Amino acid sequence: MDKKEIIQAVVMADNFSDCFKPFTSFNSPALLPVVNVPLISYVLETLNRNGVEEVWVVCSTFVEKVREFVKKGIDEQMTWSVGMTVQVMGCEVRSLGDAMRELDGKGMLRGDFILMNFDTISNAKLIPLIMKKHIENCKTDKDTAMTVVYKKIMPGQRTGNEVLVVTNKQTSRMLFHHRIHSSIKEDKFKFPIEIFLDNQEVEIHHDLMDPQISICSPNALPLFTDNFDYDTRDQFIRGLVMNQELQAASIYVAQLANEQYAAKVSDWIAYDMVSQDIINRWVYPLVPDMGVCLLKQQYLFLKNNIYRNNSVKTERNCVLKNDLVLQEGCNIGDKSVLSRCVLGKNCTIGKNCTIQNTYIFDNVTIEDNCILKNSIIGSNVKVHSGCSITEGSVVTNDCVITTKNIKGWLIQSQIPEQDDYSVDTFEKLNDHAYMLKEETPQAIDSEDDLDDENNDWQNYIKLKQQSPHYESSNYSSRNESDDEENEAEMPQEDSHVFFTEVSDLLKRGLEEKSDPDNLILEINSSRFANHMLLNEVNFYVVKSALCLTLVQETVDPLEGFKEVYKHLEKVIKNYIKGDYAMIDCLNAIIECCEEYEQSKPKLMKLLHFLYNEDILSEEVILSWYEDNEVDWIKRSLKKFIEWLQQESEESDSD
Amino acid sequence: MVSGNIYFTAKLAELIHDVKVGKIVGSYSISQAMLNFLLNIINESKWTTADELMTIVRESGKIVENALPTEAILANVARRLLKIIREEYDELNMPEQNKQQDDSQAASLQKLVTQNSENTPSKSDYSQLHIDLRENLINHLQEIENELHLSHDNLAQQASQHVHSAELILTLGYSKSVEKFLKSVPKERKFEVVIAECAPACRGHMLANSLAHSKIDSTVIPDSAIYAYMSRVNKVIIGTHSVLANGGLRAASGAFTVALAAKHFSVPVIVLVPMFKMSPVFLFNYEQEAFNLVGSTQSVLPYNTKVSRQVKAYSPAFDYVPPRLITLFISSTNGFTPDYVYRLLSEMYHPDDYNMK
Repeated sequence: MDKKEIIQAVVMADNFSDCFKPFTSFNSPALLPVVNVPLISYVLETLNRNGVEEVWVVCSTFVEKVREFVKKGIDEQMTWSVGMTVQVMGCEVRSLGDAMRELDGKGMLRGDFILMNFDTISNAKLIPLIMKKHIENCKTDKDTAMTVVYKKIMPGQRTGNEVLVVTNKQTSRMLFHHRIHSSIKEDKFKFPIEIFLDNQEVEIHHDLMDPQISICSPNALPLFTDNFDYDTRDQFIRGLVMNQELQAASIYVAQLANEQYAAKVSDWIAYDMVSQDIINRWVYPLVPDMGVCLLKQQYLFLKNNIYRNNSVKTERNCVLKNDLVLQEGCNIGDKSVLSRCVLGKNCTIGKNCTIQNTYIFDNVTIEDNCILKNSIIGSNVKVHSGCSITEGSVVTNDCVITTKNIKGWLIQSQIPEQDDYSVDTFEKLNDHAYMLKEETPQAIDSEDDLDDENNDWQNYIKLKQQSPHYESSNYSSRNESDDEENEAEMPQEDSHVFFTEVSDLLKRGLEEKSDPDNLILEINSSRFANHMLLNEVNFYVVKSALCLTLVQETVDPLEGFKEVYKHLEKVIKNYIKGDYAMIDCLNAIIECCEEYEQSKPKLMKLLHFLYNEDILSEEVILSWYEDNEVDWIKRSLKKFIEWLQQESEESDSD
Repeated sequence: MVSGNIYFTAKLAELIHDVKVGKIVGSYSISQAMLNFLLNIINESKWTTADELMTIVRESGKIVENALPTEAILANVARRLLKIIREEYDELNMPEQNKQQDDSQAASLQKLVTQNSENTPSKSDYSQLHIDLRENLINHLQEIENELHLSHDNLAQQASQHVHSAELILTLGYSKSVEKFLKSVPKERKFEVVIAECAPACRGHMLANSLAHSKIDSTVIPDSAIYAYMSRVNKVIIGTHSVLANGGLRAASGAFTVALAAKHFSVPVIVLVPMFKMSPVFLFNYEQEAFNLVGSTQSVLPYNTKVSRQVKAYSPAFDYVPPRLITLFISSTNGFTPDYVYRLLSEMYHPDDYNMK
């Protein structure tokens, strides 16, 4: 029936984690609304815009709810249903790997397909470039298993979605994959040496973010089946990259164009960031006023990024500051102040409320004088007057809040039966509100805990207090400011290390009378370790050679240096070649003289000696002397220069 | 909607989707697609009276207007069809003797005047059954389709009247009408074109490329240089997204700059409008529903910068150009001034259809 190749896609509608708890105890995370649109709609919309015609949604929990959502979407002719069939596949899977094995068993995927997660929000255009590239790769390399799509971001963020990737520059084949840890700062990475030996040119990317988009070849599925220890996509990638010879499968890397947005809603902080990105129109055309998947427009776009439905009623003195989305049927009371928040359908906000950076779902009633900051409020919640909900609190559907002061609590309306939570983990606030107690997080500094992924509280990230400098306060500032300091100090630090290393080397070389060639080798390796430029190397080699004698104040500088020079002639000659190197040498000598007063009178003799040894040429000395304006140098070298000039005139006349 | 028309809603959804996704681009292709869709309705849907058909068309117009408020052309095509249905129905309902008098186009002004007195009964309810109506409509629509098809050509035919030798003409961005218009100037006339690139999309480059292929001297300038260039320019010729009922424009952003600069140097501003771009809509407030379309922030500020989360940047797609800055509109048939727009609107659409909602 299908001669023509259609593009297929698989959407994973489960993230197998608890990062959106307690919402995920009652509903599929795929249906969590982001700016009043269920998360999975964004993925479906993106796929539809990319011309995908058949989508399989794989989910293991709350299958019925997802199925119902998809059916409703098709009935209501949501835009993603046009020209695209969506089928929900419910199966008992515990990981992505299981799901892929299941799909392989069913054999429904025929050609290359797009694999995405439900929590990806993107306006990427995959088909024209990336898909074409993938197909080309498949032609040249029969073993192509997957093309992973990354998005370039500012380096130094750590949300757990960043990756360090090494690729072959010509083919952009992946050679190394490492997910950057979100809680430990890693400053060293180990790469297998084969990467550099086997490839002519490699690229190391440390500024990539993984939005969980990939294009898979048909042979990716059997690979999952053959290796049933691959559970996550990361394991799959790492497995294939590590055992390239064994598996005969390769993975390619593609980057989204700069103007294309992609992000992963992996926790509440990411939820907040992505919501704000949507409101600030970075994800255009997936913005509220374009009607993300509806055939009609719901909002008016007003200035300061306020999206407002026509039916919203606002009292005269309420203040709508910025970045607001107000859905159908909202009522906002007198003197209430709103900024950076999203309100679902039919929400009622009382008088004198302050609502900041809060995401409120449908049918919520908030009575007078409430304060809501940095929180998530589920649908049908009722907040009694005078309550304050702050610091990353999450209130799930159908709760009634009477407690006055809620700070960073997770609240749900009932104790779920199916879960293995014991009753002790909840504290009853009233008949419709139970607080989920936080297990005291174990000390983070012990390494074992970090590997223990079952510890939910460690991975659970709350919505944090937002300062205007949101970005810098949360993730990047720590590393970024570190980086900046490092950058500023690095040259000094490195050069200092290098200088002492070279000094030690020369000293040892002198004492042990070791082979000058070996010394050169060692100096060079130290140079690369400390990122020194060639002129710096010249400078420090001469300087350390001079200092060897100068530190011993009793020895006459000139005689001492002559002694040293006898052994190190080859080393110095190796570095001081050409006019620029001579200038470096001269600068080093001057610096030494300035550091050690006793050598100043000997400057002329020193230069004369080096001139005789053919280390320095007369043209360089003369031109350097011309440019030099330091008094004592001019004075002490006057005679030497005059002599040199005579010398050159004589040779000229000859 | 009339029952049994789920098929059409699906079709319409597809049309809207195609426009949204960018499969159908350009006002000409969009109006063509809408016209085809409406023709389909007339041909295949189960309507018996004019009233029923009008309901269907009006419903479609409403859906389209809700889904894509910035693409006024879609609704305009629906409005035009409503007007035609009314006309055809009136004609069939009219006594024989009136017909002859009504046939001539010249009598349209008289018709406007007399409409209220004599013809009021026929305005009534459109519920009478007419077997010929379907066929008449299809014939009439064929004309409309031709008109649409030829709209660019008809516009372009007038080029020789407006562009003369040794003139310097300034235009903005890329407009198909302008492209065709400039290319239809007789070859022996040597003139120069200055194209403002119209950032951030910079579609002006496309126009320059295309004109260069036809051996027309063209210079691309940044938008910031519009004012500086204007003193040397003889004529401004621009296209527009749509014309509002007061004769103002909803045109690509940058058009207001061009029009103001032209006013300052008293340079005539000529706007090319195919008929379907006239919309019976007023701008009464800049925050009005969907007057403007704000594009991706990425086009004006890179995302990967430290400031990107702390500043608000907007990239509006359109400018409103008030009618006082426009010298002349050129449509498929002739030129007219902004003051005349209301008159053309009342000829093209029925006043009852102005508001589809």
